[in-house]
Amino acid sequence: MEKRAARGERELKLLGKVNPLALEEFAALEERYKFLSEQLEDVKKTRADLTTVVKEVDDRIQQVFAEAFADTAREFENVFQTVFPGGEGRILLTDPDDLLHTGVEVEARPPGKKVKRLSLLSGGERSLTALALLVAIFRARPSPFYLMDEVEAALDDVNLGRLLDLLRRLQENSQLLIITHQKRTMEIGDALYGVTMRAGVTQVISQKFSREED
Amino acid sequence: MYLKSLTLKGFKSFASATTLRFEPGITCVVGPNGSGKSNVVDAIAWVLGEQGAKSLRGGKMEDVIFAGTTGRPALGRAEVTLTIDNSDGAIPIDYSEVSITRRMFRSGEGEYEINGDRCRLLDVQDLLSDAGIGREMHVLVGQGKLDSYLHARPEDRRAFIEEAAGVLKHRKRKEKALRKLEGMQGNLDRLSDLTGELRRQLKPLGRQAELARRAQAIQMDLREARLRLLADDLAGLRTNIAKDLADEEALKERRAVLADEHDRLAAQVAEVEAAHAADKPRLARLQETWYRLQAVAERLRSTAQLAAERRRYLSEEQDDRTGRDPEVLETEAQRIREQEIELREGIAEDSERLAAAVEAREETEAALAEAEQRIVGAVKAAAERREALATLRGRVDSLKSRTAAAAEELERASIALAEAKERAEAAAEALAEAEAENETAETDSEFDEALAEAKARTAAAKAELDRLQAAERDADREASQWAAREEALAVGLRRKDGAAALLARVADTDRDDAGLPSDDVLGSVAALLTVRPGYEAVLAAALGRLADAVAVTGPAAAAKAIRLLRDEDGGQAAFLVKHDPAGAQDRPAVPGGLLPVADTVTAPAELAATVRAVLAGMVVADDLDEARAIVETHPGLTAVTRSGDVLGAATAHGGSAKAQSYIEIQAAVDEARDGKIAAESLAAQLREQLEAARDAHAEAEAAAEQVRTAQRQAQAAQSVVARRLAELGAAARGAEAEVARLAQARDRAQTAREADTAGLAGLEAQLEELESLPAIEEPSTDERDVLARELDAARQNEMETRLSVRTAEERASALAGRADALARQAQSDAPRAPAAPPSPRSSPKPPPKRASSSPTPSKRPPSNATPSPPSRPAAKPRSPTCAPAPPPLPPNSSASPPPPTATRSPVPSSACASRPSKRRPAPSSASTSRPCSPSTAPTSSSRPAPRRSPPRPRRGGPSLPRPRSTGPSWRSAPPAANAN
Repeated sequence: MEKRAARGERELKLLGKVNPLALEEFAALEERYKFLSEQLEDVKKTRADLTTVVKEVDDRIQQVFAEAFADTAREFENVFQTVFPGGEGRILLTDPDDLLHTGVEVEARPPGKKVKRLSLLSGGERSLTALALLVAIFRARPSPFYLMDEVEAALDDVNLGRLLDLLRRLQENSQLLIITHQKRTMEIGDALYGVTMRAGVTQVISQKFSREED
Repeated sequence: MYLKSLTLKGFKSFASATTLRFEPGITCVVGPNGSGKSNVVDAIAWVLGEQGAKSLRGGKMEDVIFAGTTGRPALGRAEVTLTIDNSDGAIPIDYSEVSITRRMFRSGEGEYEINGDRCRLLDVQDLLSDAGIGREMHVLVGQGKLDSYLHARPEDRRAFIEEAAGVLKHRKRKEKALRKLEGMQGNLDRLSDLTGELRRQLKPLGRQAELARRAQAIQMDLREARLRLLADDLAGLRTNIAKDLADEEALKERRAVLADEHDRLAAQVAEVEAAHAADKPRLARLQETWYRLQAVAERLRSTAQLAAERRRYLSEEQDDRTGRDPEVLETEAQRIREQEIELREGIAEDSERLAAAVEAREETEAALAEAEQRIVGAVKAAAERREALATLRGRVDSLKSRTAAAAEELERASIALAEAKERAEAAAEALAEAEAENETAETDSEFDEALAEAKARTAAAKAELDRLQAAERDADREASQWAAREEALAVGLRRKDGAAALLARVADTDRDDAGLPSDDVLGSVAALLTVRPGYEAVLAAALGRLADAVAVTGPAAAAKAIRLLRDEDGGQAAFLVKHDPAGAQDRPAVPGGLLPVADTVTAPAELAATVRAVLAGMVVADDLDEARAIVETHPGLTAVTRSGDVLGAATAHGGSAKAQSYIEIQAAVDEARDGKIAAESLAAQLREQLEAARDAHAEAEAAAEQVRTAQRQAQAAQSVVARRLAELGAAARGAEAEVARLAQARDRAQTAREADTAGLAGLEAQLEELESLPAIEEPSTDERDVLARELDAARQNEMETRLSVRTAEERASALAGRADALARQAQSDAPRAPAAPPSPRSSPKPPPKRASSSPTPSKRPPSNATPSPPSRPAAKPRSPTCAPAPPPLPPNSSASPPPPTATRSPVPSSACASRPSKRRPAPSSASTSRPCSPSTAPTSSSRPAPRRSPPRPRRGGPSLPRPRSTGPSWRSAPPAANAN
């Protein structure tokens, strides 16, 4: 028995300094470590989920965009034909391989012209081309309403007539609010508001409904 | 879905609430440029959540609020409400009509409402993006925006398509997910860091924990082992305790037993001690007895020895003489007897000589004693005398020094006295002087008078000064009042019309005006005329407009001036034109008693005629009634009342007091000026007087001050004198006191010296006397020494004599003994030869025989006595000392039937003498016996005393030489006996 005691003391001495709190600290730390590890796993899983979601969304965007673009491109060609009879216009993807980030380029070739660069078009042509693009978009994916603020200002009579045709077609699906100075544009309107300015205050003078049966 | 209506309140140029109702289809908005058509589009963009102020054509968002016009104030907020028909459910909300409102305040706060519920911009955008209206607002095609579509980057164009396709909401979802991912990444990083850190910490901690676990196991093991060891120890210790307890019990019991025994023994000891104490006196007695017995035994032993010696001697002698003839012996004896006789005779002789020597010695002793007594007396007398002499000398010396000191003191005192007297005289003189001086200084009252006078003078000067000052102030005040009045009036005097302009022009001499030379204008009439006081109003009324006129040199000058005024738009002016004196003649005569107005005024010479002409026919009236009376009586005259009313035959004007005319004002100004000047001159005069008075006052004060200073000086001087006086008085008194004190001291010193001198003389005489006495000679010791020597010689002689006597005696006795012995021998030989010695001689013979045998009987008593004392009581110790003494006597007396002879007596006497002598030292050796003797003395002495008395007389005889050698007496006894 004494031997045992002596041995115990010797061994204890051999162990040297012992931190009596080490056991508890170790247990606490281990628990915490386990908890954090679980959390880490959770977070990683969530991240993976999110990544999947993003991926899905991207796919969806690609798909939706691809469809919309296809529709728009088709409509643009139609509309362009309408506004520039005999002309040729189309829209292209700058980077068809990356549908997520690709841009959209416009090519317009009015009849009898060979230019492709948009900056070389005349003012009226540019307006008309832009309108064509807009209308193409509108027709591909119609919105409930549109507001147009003096868009036809730069157009000549012929082109105005063409535009009005487009507008009339748009009107079938959407509400249009047009601000204009052109009498012909006013003529296609279902309602007309006159606006004046008196002493710096705008007043809607005639709220009259002018129904014009064509 | 379509837009149903748009209501604008305070948005941009729509100041008042305006509602536009839309219909499905095309709605056109027309109007002139700048009428605010585009603001409708802006309003829709704004309400749908437009954030950029620029796209709304403004600098900042607050610009959308109505900024106000010249006619309308600015508004505090802008509000736009867009109502959308949602009957087709294009907007994912459960309403068939959705109204979106955006409101903005000048403070910059904005708010959104959907169907009247407050919400965020995000909600509005969410709502609309589902309907295909995104943030890009591609449905709003603004003015001049078309070009931007074409010039936009391909990516922006893509955005239009995307928006139209409704990709936006997907994008939003993606963005949200990405944002989440980003946030998550942060969390992830943090978590990774934490876990990494923890892992790093875990490792060493794990090692420590492992160590701790092992340590714990070991410790447990160790503890168990230790516990077991301790348990063993405990068991062992317990048994030990039990054993110890049992031991303790046993020991306790034993202790109790021992204690009992101890008690018992202690009791025994006490008993024994008590017995011991009781036995102690007996022991002491016994010891004493024992000592005594031993002494007796000793004595007996020595006696026995003596006897043995004697017997040996005797037997030797007998042996020697056995061979001799009795006759020879007889003859021998005879011879010896003769010798003895011879010796005895010598002894007698010697005894006589001894007696003589003793006598001589005694005589010498007496003489010596006497001589010594004498010497002692003489020495004492000499010593006394020396002492007395020394005392006297000391007294004389002290007295001498005292007298010398007294003389010195006297001298000092005399000197001091002289000095003190001098000082006293000086002090007295000084005092007298100072008193005289003080007498002269008594002039205080003069100063007082002078001071009072000076004060009075000062007061008078001051009063004068005050009066003058008041007067000056009054004068000044008056002057300033006048000046103020003049100034105020002068202000009123300034012209405010053409006259003023003209006068100003003339005053401005620098301007060389061609139109009006300054020579032409004489000045203001008011300034030129001097009115008699009290008639200002009269003159002003009489002159009318002319009172304010300008005087000119002639009609030409007047015309020039008027033209000038007209040209310069200078206003109207009246002119008094210098007149031809000829016109003075048609002046109507003024009846006596009436005062013409012209007399009340004094004009400069060049104007006098003109003034008279103007005032012609005008008289002064006291009041209107008088004026009326004058006019009625003299229709040619015009009366002017004192209050300024004018009453003429044709014209009249007047009424209540109007504004003062310049003339009046001028007069008032003049009067004010005069008053001012007078007041000023008076003030100046007064000022001069004041100066003088001030000087006088200052002088008076200076005089008073001088007097005061003088008085102060005098007082200071007086106080100095008084102080000095007091000092001197004190000094004089001190000096006198000192003189008295010193005189007294001197007297005292003198008397003391005289007394001392007298005492000294007496003492000196005494001393001299004493010294003159013949010195007592030292007592001569020669006589005494001679005597002492004689005494010594006598003593020696005596001693020698005594010795010789003794020697002779001894020889005689020895011879006698020899003779006896020879005789006895001869006798013993006689049976054979009957020639016996004489009977007397034979008779003593038996005793020696007995004496030789006597030791035996004498020995016997001690042997008997030794056993007897212990049995006897304590009262007996005395008796042994006496008892042995008697016993030897009876045997001696009984054993010597023949009458004791002188020769025989020494034996018992020596024995007897030795006994008491032996008894005497006993007490010193055995002190314990001593206390007993007195107690027993009464009982024992009563008996033994009679018995002892017989030996005493016997002892007295031979005790002659004894007194000298008492100490060795008992030792010398045996030799004495031996000699016998």
